[in-house]
Formats: sequence, C-alpha cells, structure tokens
Amino acid sequence: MTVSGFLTLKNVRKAYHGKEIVKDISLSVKQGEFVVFVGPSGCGKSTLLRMIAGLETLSSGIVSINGQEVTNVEASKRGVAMVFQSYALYPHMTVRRNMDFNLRIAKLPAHEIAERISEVARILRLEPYLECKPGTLSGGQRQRVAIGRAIVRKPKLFLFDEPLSNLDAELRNHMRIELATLHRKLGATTLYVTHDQVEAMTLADRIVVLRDGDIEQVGTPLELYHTPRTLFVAGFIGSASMNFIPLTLLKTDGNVSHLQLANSVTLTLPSPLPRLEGQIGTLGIRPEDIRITEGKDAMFQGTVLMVEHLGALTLLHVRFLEDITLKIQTTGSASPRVGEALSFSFLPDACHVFDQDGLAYRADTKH
Amino acid sequence: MRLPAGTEAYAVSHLPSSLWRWVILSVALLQPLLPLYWALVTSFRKGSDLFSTVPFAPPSFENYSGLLSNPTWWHDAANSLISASAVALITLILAIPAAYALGRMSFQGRNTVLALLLGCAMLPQIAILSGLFTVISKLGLYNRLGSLIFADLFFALPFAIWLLTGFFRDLPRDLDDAGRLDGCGIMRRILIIHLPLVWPGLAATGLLTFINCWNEFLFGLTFTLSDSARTLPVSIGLISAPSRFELPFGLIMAASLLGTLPPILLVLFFQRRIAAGLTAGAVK
Ligand SMILES: Nc1ncnc2c1ncn2[C@@H]1O[C@H](COP(=O)(O)OP(=O)(O)OP(=O)(O)O)[C@@H](O)[C@H]1O
Ligand SMILES: [Mg+2]
Repeated sequence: MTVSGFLTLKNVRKAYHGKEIVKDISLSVKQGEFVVFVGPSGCGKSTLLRMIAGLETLSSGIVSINGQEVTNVEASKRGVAMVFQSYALYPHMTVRRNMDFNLRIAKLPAHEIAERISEVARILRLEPYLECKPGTLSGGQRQRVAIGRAIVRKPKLFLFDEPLSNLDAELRNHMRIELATLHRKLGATTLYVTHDQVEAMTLADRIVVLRDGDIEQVGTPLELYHTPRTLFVAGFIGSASMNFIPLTLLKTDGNVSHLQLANSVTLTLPSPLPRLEGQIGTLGIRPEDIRITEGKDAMFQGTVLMVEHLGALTLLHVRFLEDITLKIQTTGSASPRVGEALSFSFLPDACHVFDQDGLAYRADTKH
Repeated sequence: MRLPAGTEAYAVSHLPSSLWRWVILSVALLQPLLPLYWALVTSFRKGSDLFSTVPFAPPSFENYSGLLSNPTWWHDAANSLISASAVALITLILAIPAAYALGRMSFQGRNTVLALLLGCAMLPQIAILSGLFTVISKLGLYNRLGSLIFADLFFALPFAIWLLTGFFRDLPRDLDDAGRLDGCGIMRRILIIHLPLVWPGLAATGLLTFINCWNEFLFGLTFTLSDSARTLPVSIGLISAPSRFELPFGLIMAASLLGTLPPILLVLFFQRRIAAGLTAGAVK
C-alpha cells in the first residue's frame, strides 16, 4: 500500500443499523497541516473524527497515520489526542492529575512528567490552577486544561471536536487566536471540527466541507470562498451567505453571455457559458460583491426592507424583482433608510453560475 | 411540578396567608410526630402508668436499662447488623458491574432486563415466601443468618441495580472516550473514573439497602426459629409479658426506638457527604 499523506483515509464508511452516516470518504492530510471539517449538524463530522481517533469502529475502509495502518489499532496506541466539546475533564481530579493521567498510565518517569506538566502549564498559563479541581475553573480555563491534557502527550495528531462552541463570543475569539498560535508553535497535524465560519476560515490550511456523510469539496479557505464547486458550498462558506437568483441563459455571444434573472431583467456576464445555453440554473452573488451605485451606471433597482448595522459594515436586505430578497453589504456610513429605493450593480467577475444540478459552471468541464 | 416564579406567591396572597401556613404546617407536623411522641412517652413508663393521662410524669428508665443489660437484645442487634451489612455489601459488589453494563453498554434485550429487574423489586414478599422457604431448607440455611441474607438479596439486588443504572447512565460518554484515549482499560475506567463520580449514588444505594434489611420482618420471622439467628424486628415482635392480660407497651416502644437509632445515625452521618459528593461531581 502506498501512503501519500501523514494521515490517510481510504474509502472510510460508517453505518449504524444499516443507515450510512459516513459514506466512502477518502482524504489525505499532510504533516503539520491544519484541516477543518465543516458541515451542517448531523452530517457525520464527529463520527468521522471518532473513527480517526479509534473510538468508533469503521464499517469499511482504511485509516493510516504516519504511514502505518491503524484501522484496528486501539485508541490509546494511535498517538492521537482529542479535545471534546464538553471538555470531558475528570471532575474528581485536579488540573495536574487531569493532565498527567495518561502519562502516569504510560508509566513515564516522574521527573519527565513533572517537566512536561510545568512546560504545558506555562504555555497555557495554567500554573496557578494546577491543584484546583475543574469545577472551580471558568469555561476558558477548562478548555485550556482540555487542550493541555492533549498536548502533554506530544501526539502526532490533534483532533478537536467543536472545542470552542461552549464559550461566549469574546472568549471564543481569544481562544481561537491562542489555538492558532499554539499550532504555529507545535506544528502538529490537526483536524478540527467546527460550526463557526470565522474559525474555519482563519484557522484552516484546508477546509473539508461535508454533507450527508460525503465530502462536498476540499480546498483552501480562499479556494472555497472564490470558487465553490457546488451551490451547497457556496451557501455554506461566507458569513453573510451568498445570494441566489434563478437564471435562464439566453445566449452566448462571443466572449459574453446574456442571462435572464428570475424571468425578468437581463444581465451580461463577461464569460462564455456555451454548455448552459437555453438552460435554467442559479446565479450566486455574495453580499460583499454588490455595489450601491448612483445614476445610470446602476444595473438594478430595489427597495430597502431592513438595515442591519454591524459596526464597520452594514447589511441591507433589499427586495429585488418580484419576490427575491438580496443581502447587500456596504461599508459606507450614509446608510439608506427602510422603504427607500436603491440602485445597485453586481460585480460581473464575482458572479457564480450554477447549473440545474447545483454544480458550478466551469469553462473546462464538459458534459 | 415546577411553577414559574411568583405564581405561588400570587395564589396565596389573597388568603390570610400566615393562618393557612400555620394550619397546614401543624397538620403536616402532627401527623408523623404524634405517634413518635406517644412512643417516646410510653417507652419511659412502667406498668399501669401506661394508661395515665398525665402528659408529663417523671420518666422511668427501667425499660431501657432492662433491654441494654439483656444479652439476648445485644445478640439480636448483632444479628441485624451482620445480616444488613452483609446484604448491603454483597448487593453493591454484584450491582456495580451489572448496573455498569446496563447503564453504559448497549446490547439487545437491555430494556427487557431493566423492566424485569423493576418487576422483581416490586414483587410482594409474600409471593416468593414459600418458594424461598423450599430453596433455603434444601440449601441447609434454615434458622441461620445466611437464610436472611439470601432472601434479602432477592429484593435488594434488583432494586440496587435499577437505581445504580441511572447513575451510571447519566455519566457523559465523552468521559469514557477521554479515558480510552488516555489508555485506560475498562476495569481502570470503572474504578478510577466512574466509581468516584457515582460515589454518592453508591452510598445512597448501600444505605437504602442497609435500612431495608435492618427493618425486614417477614423473612426474619419465617426463616428463623431459635434465638441464635433472630434479628431485632422479629425479637421486638415477639416481646411478651409475664401475664397474658398485659401487653408490655413500654418495653416494646423502648425496643423499637432503640432499634431505629442506628439507621438514623447512619443517615445523619452520610447525608452531608452524599450532598457534598453530588455537587462536587457537577461539571460544566
Ligand atoms: N452511536 C450511534 N448510533 C446510532 N446513530 C448514531 C450514533 N452516533 C451518531 N449517530 C448518528 O449519526 C449522525 C451523525 O452524527 P455526528 O455526531 O457525527 O454528527 P455531527 O456532524 O457531528 O453533528 P453536530 O454538528 O450536530 O455535532 C447523526 O444523525 C446521529 O444520529
Ligand atoms: Mg458533532
């Protein structure tokens, strides 16, 4: 068997009672890479992570870590450490005991245990709390203990299952930056499950988008942002989600294509779409790629329904055509009022075109 | 049922609240305390004083001193202590692995087993009395303490397993997983991670079992014949007077009150620890 990456999944499947939760996932992760799994609730992220950890058996497929197949190797022998959403600290043990528990089970010499604990406690600023029970700590401190428990083992692979989702927004931001710093310092290969857009975009070297137990797309955060392969990915990535408008392709004319949006207005895109000619599909445009324009430069008109001030940014909800609500993101301080008419244009290069099956149009893909 | 805050205050506010409260409180207190008061007063009286209506008379300690200086009384108490402790201990030892499996592992027929256990614990004692009697005679346990331990286990064990299953089930799965990643086998996970966390449950279960066996009467009466294996409740039930026209109520009350002391002391002793253990386990 040839193994390319540091962690390799080959045709990994998991079924519970005949129901496939994880379907045929193959993935290769390089040494030191930070890979984030995102996807809607129940799509099998935790199950996948637990199979890699060895906490769940595979229905079929192969997991290998560092060139060795570990499909049937016990969890504690895989050299992985996991941080759970619920922290899963032992409530009856002190912070020190929580962190050195596995080192003592592995029968490391006492002086080495002490050294490792003091180093980790220093990195995570846990020194004052080493003799406290987890129950007396704050959420952020507990999360640091859980992370500390993982890193004292010097694992080859870190697994995080929504580690920050129990924390409030401010603490989450803070811990996210700490995690990024820690990753840069330790350089360990990391798999990270999250629901949070910002965490995914900022932490990941690569993002894996899962849907119904299957990989929808794998790529760097910017690849997913700029060239989503499917409607699902386009709608999932980005914090104010992409606007979708039904379209019909009228015709391709040299290097431009003429589209009709929602059976009324037309739009001209600077790219040929020969494969779609005469078909219906979906146009995707991100809220930040719509410009408010004045006068006759404007492509379209709409009515402001709602204004959300987010501080530096403002999100407008605009009624467009008959029954389409567009989200438009602006940075301008002079914001329109509810009920006002608004003129705007789409940045033509930022328009995404999806065919009937929800696949992004690529000039090079042939049907 | 939990009412939203304020509802209760509203409902009571247009009644003369303090009066109602006193009435309800008095009834609720008198109902259990009056028999106790009567028992207490009677236990300090002798002979014909029993029927005196004078509420307070100089107490006589004759009943108590008679009991405490009687070696048979101490012997019976020791029998009760030995059998109740043995049942509590054996129950815990057997119930822990059973409850662990039922609470933390999923296998076919698990719910059936749980339902059966509950059914067993609910069976009236009398229903299995004759069957148990045969088994106990065949085993040669008749008129020995072993017969009581054996019989008591029939009720104590299912009940304890059922109680403990709930405690084990409520432990989070992530703790198991963390233990597995830390390299703990299943025995070590039970001993080091789970048992310390369900310790209040263990103490409560052991205590309940002990008290139930300490107070057990029917089996004690049926399976023992002579003084040698007699327990306190039976011995109290058999107290009789020299003359058959007289019931020694004073003595019976004194014996009953003395007999309830150990369970009360045990509860008082464990109560604070159990409560402390329950809150110490709370994480998150
Ligand atoms: N032990 C199990 N037995 C049966 N079904 C299970 C089991 N564990 C998970 N599932 C099912 O597998 C599916 C995926 O669960 P999983 O926990 O992996 O989702 P997830 O992507 O992590 O979701 P979330 O984002 O909500 O954590 C769910 O529908 C769940 O009901
Ligand atoms: Mg999950």
